[in-house]
Amino acid sequence: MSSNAVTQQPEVGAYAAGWHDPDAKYSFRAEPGLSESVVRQMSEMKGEPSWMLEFRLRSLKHYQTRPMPTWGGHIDLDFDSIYYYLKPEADNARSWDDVPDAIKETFERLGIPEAERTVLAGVGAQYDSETVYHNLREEWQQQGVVFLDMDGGLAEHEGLVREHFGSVIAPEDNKFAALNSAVWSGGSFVYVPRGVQLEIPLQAYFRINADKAGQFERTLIIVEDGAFVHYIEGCTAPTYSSEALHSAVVEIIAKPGARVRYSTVQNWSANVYNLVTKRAVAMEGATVEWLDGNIGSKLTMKYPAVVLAGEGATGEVLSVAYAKDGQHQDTGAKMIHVAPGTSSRIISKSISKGLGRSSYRGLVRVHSGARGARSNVECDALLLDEHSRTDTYPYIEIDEDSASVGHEARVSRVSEQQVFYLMQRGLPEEEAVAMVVSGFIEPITKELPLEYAVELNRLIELEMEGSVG
Amino acid sequence: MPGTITDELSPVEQKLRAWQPDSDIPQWFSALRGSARDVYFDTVPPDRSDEAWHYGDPRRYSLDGLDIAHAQPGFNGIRYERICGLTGRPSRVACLSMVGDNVTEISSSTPLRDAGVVVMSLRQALALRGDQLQDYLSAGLVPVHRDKLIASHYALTDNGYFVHVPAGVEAPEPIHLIMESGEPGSVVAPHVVVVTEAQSRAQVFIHYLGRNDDARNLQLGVIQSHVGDGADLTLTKIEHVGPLTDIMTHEAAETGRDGRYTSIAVHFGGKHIRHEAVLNLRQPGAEASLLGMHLVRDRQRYDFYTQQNHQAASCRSNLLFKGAVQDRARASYQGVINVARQAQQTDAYQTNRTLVLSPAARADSSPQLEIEANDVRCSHGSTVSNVDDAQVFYLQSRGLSVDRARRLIVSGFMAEIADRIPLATARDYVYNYVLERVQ
Amino acid sequence: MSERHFVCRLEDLSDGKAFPVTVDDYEVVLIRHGDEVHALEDNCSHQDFPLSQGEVLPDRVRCRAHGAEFCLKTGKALKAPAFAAVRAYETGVEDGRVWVET
Repeated sequence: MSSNAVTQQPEVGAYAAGWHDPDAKYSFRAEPGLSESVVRQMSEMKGEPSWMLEFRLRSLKHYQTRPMPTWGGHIDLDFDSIYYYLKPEADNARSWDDVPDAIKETFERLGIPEAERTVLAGVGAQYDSETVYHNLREEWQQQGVVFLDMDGGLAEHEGLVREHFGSVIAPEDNKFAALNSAVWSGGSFVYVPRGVQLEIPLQAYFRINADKAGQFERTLIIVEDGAFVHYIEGCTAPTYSSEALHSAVVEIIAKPGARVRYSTVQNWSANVYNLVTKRAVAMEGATVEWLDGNIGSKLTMKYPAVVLAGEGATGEVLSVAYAKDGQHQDTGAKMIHVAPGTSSRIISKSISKGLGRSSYRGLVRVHSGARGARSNVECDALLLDEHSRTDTYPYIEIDEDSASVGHEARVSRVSEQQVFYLMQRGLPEEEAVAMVVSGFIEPITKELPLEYAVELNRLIELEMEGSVG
Repeated sequence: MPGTITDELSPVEQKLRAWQPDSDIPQWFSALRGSARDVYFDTVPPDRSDEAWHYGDPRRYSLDGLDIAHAQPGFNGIRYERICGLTGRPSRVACLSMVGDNVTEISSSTPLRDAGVVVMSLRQALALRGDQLQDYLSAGLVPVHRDKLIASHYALTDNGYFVHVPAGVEAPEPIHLIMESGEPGSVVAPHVVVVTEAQSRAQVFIHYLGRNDDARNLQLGVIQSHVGDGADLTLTKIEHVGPLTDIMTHEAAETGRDGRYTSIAVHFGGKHIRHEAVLNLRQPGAEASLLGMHLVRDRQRYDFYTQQNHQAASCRSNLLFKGAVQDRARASYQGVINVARQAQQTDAYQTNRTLVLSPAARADSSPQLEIEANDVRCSHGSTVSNVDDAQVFYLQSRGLSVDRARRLIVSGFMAEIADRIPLATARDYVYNYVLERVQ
Repeated sequence: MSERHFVCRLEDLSDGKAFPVTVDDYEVVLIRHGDEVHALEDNCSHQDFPLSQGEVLPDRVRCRAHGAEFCLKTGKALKAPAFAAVRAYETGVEDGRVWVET
């Protein structure tokens, strides 16, 4: 695509970032496909420092030469027709009438407030949470906490970002990390100073002037010694996305004694490929907990990881996956034990309904020198229907004789006895099944923030309707 | 010279290129070998993208620098007494031994013969039971195209064993088949076919024996077992070859309706050992066990790969694999339970327990499940750890030294598998070795 | 008990290139910069890939598989996705011959 010198004013609202630059050197017509010029354009429009442009270009090169993975879900996307940065206006034109009835009903049943429904359905402007957000923002400022979108983080805290960006997940890690590294936009930048304990969770929802649901979000969370933060993203309600490809990267650095909990629940619409790389480095005595709920999308490939790099560090992943017709949840966790005295725990609960497929894919690796490493993995899969499918692919690699590692997986169907017992107490069959399923995932839902847990259980009730008989 | 790679063909590969069918062997067998030879030269070795080779190094089983085995019987100097020590009751045992490409009969059993049980070399079977063998070899239980290593087996194989138990017959004595290591620098590719017809019963042992080698030698073996409706076959393999022998064995079994199959694999020796065990439960009601144990030390490497393929309803399979790694050794287990859509009422289990006894030892484990039916009971478990300190301390408090305590514990750990070996003399051999060798 | 093994002559190693050798049954990669030789475990700690197939830099080696980097002197992991060190062997040159201690 040639760059002619004609400049145009973009219409506000047509571009997610709301960008406006009358002196642009490039013509900013949205173009599909990925090329060096798209990446250069993007970086220039964002006003990024040259090292970030170089980082993007290096990542692009790697993305272009790296082959697609030979494992995991089936990815059937025309990569050349995706808009990687600027989107044409027409694509955003969607009215409430276009939203499928099933989704509207779900909103009704889950009791989602009117104002939020339009946002979730992708048809409205940003939900104005300004007032709630404002008070929290003051408190954070006083404590020295930084919570911005990633572009803002790069602009205002360049030194910090440069030190840590890509230090946990290098662009060469996998093809989609390379893609994100080349075209990332939006996401969160979080910095918590030494000793600060944030009682109120940070929510992606609270970022103003940013994509709530960007395609290539990049999040970087840095938590200093002894600090604590709980970060939450996503929601249980069905979320429509016009973008078919979501490829996010989340990096967390937990300094000595820090504790970080990162909770996600995604319920992307059935057209979305959700390919995410999430990893944390935990230093001496630090703890990182990933809570991962996967309900939506056509295919999710996501394996939250913790590198236990400092002595006494601990990592935990609690994961729930639900797959129904046309869905494949390929999720799991990775724990890498490097330092002595580390411990890890992975609990994965998955439910497959109809022709849905849910797969657990995980790694526990204990390096030589990780003395006294302890790790325990439990995977439970529930198959609701005759032809539901589940897979388990654990990898256990132990190079240390003082380690103690255990892994267990079980596959079962909903117990007829349990359902019968509940029906004897007066519950209709569908409700009884829903209760059994809720009980199955309870160890995980009890760790989620209350509203999420409640919504998740209500969602399960909805899903179980019509599943019996 | 470090870092150089040679593209030259090894002596055995040159012979493969030049190989022409032998008029003595059936035409169909020559065709099989010829097409395998072509597949071999047209294929590259598997790499990590082949899930079966996630752990394991295909280079260890390559034909580099090797020639075809020429060794004659008696080459290894394995004494008759040693064999008896393993097999027991020398005068009544059916025992054959294969070294290089030659099979000799060590002893035979009249009761077995009288019962109609056939035990012969593969070459004899090609001559006398050609049609039957053709059925079994063409059925594709172990396909030639599977990978370059299987192709190399078929391209080279010209002898092995054939065991046949007629319908309704209960073999009165166990059958012992011996595989001896070839001479240094040689490769041998034994092919074993074991058939138990409907309602029959048999116990077959394969002993891998060798001596201290001067240079690398390689065995690329395939064992195919056919268990008829209601038949019961136990196949025990005990491997204790010399420290420079590499062995890759692919074992595949298919079971008929209500068939029972037990496979036991014990590994102690060799340098790089890869054992692949595939179970195809094609008819309902079958019950199968895959049991394995190993003790690897020094710089040994042992990889165990399994498949439990449930293709029919109401079958039960259980895999139990226990091992210990010490010194600088490395062992891996990778296996998959595949339950097809129609295989409802499946019961399938995988258990892998490994003891890591020394700082430089390494263990990898990946038990996998692919389940497409929902009325099933499937689970697996894997643990890796050292000997439990509390247990050692307890035995010390009873007056045992640390060493003795550890040996007893490891021996007790292996008992779950060793106890299933259906022959006392072989069981004793296994126990004694573990007690002697554990660190 | 550590042992010194003489592996090759210094002149056999091209400057700035990685050479795989087997020393006492260990897979080792030798890297020469001028008169200095480095010896590391020929196995990336990330996912078991030979470092000898990687890129040699003045102070480090980069794994071809995912770009992990290791310090030539100490084997320490310098760049993601590697976080665990690889073994660094004592090595030297005596009378033009390269030795590695295992």
